[in-house]
Amino acid sequence: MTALPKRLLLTWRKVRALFVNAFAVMTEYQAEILIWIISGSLPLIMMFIWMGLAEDGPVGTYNAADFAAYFLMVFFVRQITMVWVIWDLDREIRLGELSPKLLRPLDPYWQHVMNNLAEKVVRTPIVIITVLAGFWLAQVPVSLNTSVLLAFFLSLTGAWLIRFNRQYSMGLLTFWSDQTTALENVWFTLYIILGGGLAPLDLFPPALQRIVSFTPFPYAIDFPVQVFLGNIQGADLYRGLLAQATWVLIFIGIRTLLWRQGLKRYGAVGA
Amino acid sequence: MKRYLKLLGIFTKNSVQLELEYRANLLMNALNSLLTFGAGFIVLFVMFSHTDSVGGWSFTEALVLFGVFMVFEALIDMVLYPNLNKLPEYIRKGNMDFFLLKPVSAQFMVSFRYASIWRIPELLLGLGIVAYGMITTGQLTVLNVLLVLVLLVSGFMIVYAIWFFLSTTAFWLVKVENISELFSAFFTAGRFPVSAFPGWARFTLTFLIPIAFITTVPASAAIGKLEFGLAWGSFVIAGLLLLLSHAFWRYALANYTSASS
Repeated sequence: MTALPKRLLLTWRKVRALFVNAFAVMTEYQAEILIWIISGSLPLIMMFIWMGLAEDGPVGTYNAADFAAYFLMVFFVRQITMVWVIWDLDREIRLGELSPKLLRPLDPYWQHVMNNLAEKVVRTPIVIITVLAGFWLAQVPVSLNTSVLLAFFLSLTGAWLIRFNRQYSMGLLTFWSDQTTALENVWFTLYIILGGGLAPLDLFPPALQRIVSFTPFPYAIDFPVQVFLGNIQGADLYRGLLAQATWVLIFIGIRTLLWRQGLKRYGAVGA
Repeated sequence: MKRYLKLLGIFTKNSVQLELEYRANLLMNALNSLLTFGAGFIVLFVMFSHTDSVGGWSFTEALVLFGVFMVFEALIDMVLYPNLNKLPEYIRKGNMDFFLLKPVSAQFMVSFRYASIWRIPELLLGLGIVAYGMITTGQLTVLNVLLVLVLLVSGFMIVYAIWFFLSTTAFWLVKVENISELFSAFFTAGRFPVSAFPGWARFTLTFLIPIAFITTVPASAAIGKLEFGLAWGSFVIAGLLLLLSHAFWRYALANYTSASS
């Protein structure tokens, strides 16, 4: 009976050590993080264009303030769920930097998770201030309640888990190919357009909307944004969260499989 | 001048030989440029299914502008990215000294030593869209093609000068590998006509960060709605920025003390 709590405590200590280390590294990179935040400003540019279009009357169901709220939240969701693990994995696997990490008593996956979370601690305050300033400048009224905030937090976590595990899985393909970062660029193009990052998905032609709903993309941007805006509630909310959970499980499954197979191959090369 | 052209030829040949090791890149980049075009097309399609003009530009006209944007994205990846993004590393590791010892301009060496060929599909696709737009709007004359090409070159000089200026800050800031991301962030605005932005942003994108002269002006020429003052403006700004960035580079070199000493 005492074995399980003890093991949990041990794992917790390992994870905490990784986090403290990752956080110390990330505070060194504040300027870089700021540059990366600015480089994710495409949703804000789209916001201006759509707001301009809505000047002479609503576009679909959106007026100018709706577009402002939508794209500010797209910016927020993309920033908070940002992942870059594939660039690290690509380097570690190709150059053999993975080898010493395999000697540690914990799957390298957790170190990457902790790196990402530590960076969020630095990034989140800047992003929140930016978005609040945006809401204030665009004079967008927001009415929030605890249940919407809770649902938003859940859907945001789901979006991050989808992006992280999806990108980690793709990163592991480096065991077999040197084209993973190019593949990532292809995926990113699909993600930004089909996730609703350039135009709200409900303005898409209905046929395209239907096809998109069977992909993971809308669950990584559009879904949390619409939850925050209060457009998804009740049964639709639960259905959406369930879909997110399904995609997370699928990608975690793929990741586990690729990791096992990849390690065999990595060992065989003798790197 | 002749010597520089010869060197450029040798560098390009050498880069192509290096790159041909990774042929699978071509397939991935061709796929990605098709998707990039598809994404841009969908955005315009969705916009124009709810409205019939964006900043006074029709669907075809906005598509031409997107073609120009793709041309620049390809050129940046083919020429600027493989060279200028290495500058911070040269400075940090001391390789910069070797360039200074060469009997040619160090600016030339750090700017044009490498070339990446894999974005050629995107370049061709972008030019194809521009050509298509010129045909449908009836603007495909020899004179106009020359005007568009000259404005594209002028726009590229503006991009180069800004990018070179940003990279040169590495002499003081050292770790600025991703400073070019700052430019890219603003450059994404270039996929839309500058007239579609609110007033203050239009001012910023025309005069402070002259994105308008990079994409909107050549695209305007291609569809025959160019105001000639803007063409001259493009040349003047390109010239000024080239001089300014070169002066900044000279100033940086004068204060450079090498990595090792």
